[in-house]
Amino acid sequence: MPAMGVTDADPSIAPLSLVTTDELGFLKVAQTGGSAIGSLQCVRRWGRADKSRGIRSLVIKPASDTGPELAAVGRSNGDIDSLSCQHGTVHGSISAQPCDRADRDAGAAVAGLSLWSTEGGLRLMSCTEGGQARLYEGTWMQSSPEAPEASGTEPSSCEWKQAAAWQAAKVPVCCMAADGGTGVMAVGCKGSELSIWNIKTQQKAYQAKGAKPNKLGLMDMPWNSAVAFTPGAGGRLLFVGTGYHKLRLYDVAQARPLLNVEFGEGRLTSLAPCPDGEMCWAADSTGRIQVLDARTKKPQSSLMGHGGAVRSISLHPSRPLLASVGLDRHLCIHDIRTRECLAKLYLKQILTAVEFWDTPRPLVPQHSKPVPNDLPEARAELPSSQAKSQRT
Amino acid sequence: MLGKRKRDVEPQVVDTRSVGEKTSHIANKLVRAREYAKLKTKKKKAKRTERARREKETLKAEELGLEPPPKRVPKTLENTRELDGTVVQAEDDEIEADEAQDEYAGYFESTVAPKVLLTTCYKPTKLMYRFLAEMLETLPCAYYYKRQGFALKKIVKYASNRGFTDIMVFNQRGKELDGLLMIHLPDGPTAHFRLSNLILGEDIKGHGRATTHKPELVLNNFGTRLGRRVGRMFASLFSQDPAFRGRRVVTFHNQRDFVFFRHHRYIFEEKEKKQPGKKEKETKVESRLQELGPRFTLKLMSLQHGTFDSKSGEFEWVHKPQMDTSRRKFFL
Repeated sequence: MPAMGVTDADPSIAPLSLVTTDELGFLKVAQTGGSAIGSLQCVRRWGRADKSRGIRSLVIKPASDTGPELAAVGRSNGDIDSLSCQHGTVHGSISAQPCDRADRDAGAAVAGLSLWSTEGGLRLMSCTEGGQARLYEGTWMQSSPEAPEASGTEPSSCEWKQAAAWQAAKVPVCCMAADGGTGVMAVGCKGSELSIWNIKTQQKAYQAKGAKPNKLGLMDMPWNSAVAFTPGAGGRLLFVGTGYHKLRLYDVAQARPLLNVEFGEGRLTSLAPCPDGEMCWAADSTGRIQVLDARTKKPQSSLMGHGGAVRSISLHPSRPLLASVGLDRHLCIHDIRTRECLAKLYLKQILTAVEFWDTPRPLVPQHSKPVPNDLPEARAELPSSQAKSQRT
Repeated sequence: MLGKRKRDVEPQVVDTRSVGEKTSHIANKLVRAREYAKLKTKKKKAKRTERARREKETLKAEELGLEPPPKRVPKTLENTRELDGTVVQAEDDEIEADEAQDEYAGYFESTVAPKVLLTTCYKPTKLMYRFLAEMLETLPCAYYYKRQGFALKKIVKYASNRGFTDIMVFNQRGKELDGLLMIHLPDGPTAHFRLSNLILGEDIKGHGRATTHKPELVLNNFGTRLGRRVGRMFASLFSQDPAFRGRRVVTFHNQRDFVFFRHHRYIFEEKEKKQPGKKEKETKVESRLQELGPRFTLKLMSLQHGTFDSKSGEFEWVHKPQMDTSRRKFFL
């Protein structure tokens, strides 16, 4: 692939890699051909087409001393897979609990995932739509975890063991965010206000209240549709988006929000706080992406480019870039300083999540059609209803 | 002569500016107008001679039995369309896999038969009833329900409990029909169209009456990913096994993002016709069309994921003014 517009880009900047997931169950890796962002293309597609196992949430842990890079995906039937974006190999799978599957109304779909590493190994926090919060402990089964990276041959496997499980909400859960460093988890629901749980003790640490009633004495019903912890605040400050187009900033020292700002006209779907903790990018169900500055208390800097709702946004850890995906089946990358859309890539499916990925080695684009069945699945324990949907 | 023609053919530096652009720098209006007229005449003349030359060449080629030069294709908005990369290619396994599992998969596998609920805005007028009567003839699987002040979300729940596959809500503003909301049940999507240029069947000259046969369906130019989705939505309103005896066709023709709805009956007739230069009559099969109506035009305003929820629903596509950057960009 000839790199487009390489001349006008800085050659010192490494190529970008992004991972997206979609409703059909695919995990796709998009990568720039050279240093120019405009040459973004899809280089890998992992997974097989099965809507019942569509991916709802994605989290990526970069490679560290404790283990290689690892991605975890939460599916709409409640299964969680941990896999390598580089090879597409599944390192470990967690099947949905039978109680979740039986209770269809409660929702077995994974509403939120969080992955971090501790001295003891990996920790994976998940929360289903039915309100079941679960903590898993993961250990690498291979003696030398760097092996897959170094040789690029056989990756090691990861064993997941459930460490804790509790009912975090009795109403449908819309979003979940966990702060591994401080050991807290926030759950946003439709029907009750935000609550924060201590992961160690599985006790509720904080129960938020909604914003104060307005002049007419009216207030919004509880519906928190997006939540994110402010980086560097030690799990004390968090941004919350509501289904009634409000963006709030909560401090756990008080029940009511510090800020309650009107944001667009649709339901807020995704939040990405900036590393300084003062600003927060937010996206909504009409395709609006704007940043809220907690100091000026106004949403500003609209990013144009999406034709439909935005499902997920992600900030690059070091560069001024914001990636967004949504129902219009496009992945957009914007420069947050100039607000320019640098790249727009059509990825064919309704996309659900996006993350920047610090790839250890750039992937070579596949020109032939990707093999559809290269993700081994836990097929043995599929219930009959799913087997039926696979046939169709 | 020959030398002159040769000189004409020689490549020159072509001035691509229009006549107006060439003369706009002249400040005096009279001079400018004179110069403009002169250049315009010159241009027209050049065009005329060029056309005559081409015609001559074609005739000459035909006489010699050679292949005539290729016919010039006029530039239209369609053939100079700016593609946005979402046009569905044939045998795209990923899109086929998606469509095999989407909301319309049951209909296309013939496991779900269409059943459509027709309703209106809160206060329809007489025109709406005349139109609905024709729509009920057009859609053999449609049932009309009075709106009776019910909220749409309640109607959605009611219809999905009773096995309806689609809801069509026609909206009226003043005395004109202006909108159509189509909701696929039970899981969406919901499409909102602007409806315009409505002509009832009874107002069409030489119209016919629709029979009760299941109609055939023609869907034209739904090429992009969004277009395919909308096209599948239209297709799922009609039964998959048309009664060909009825010779009824319903057409959804998309052109430049406007979807034209037409309803016809066709006939193949054997006719005895006298051919020019021949004495005896020849029998020839001719096809004829009779319009049954109604006819109207639809323009997609938004496509929403899930059933009707205008406040917090997620939109797959919404028309935004900033999308209209070019006349050559189409979404369906």
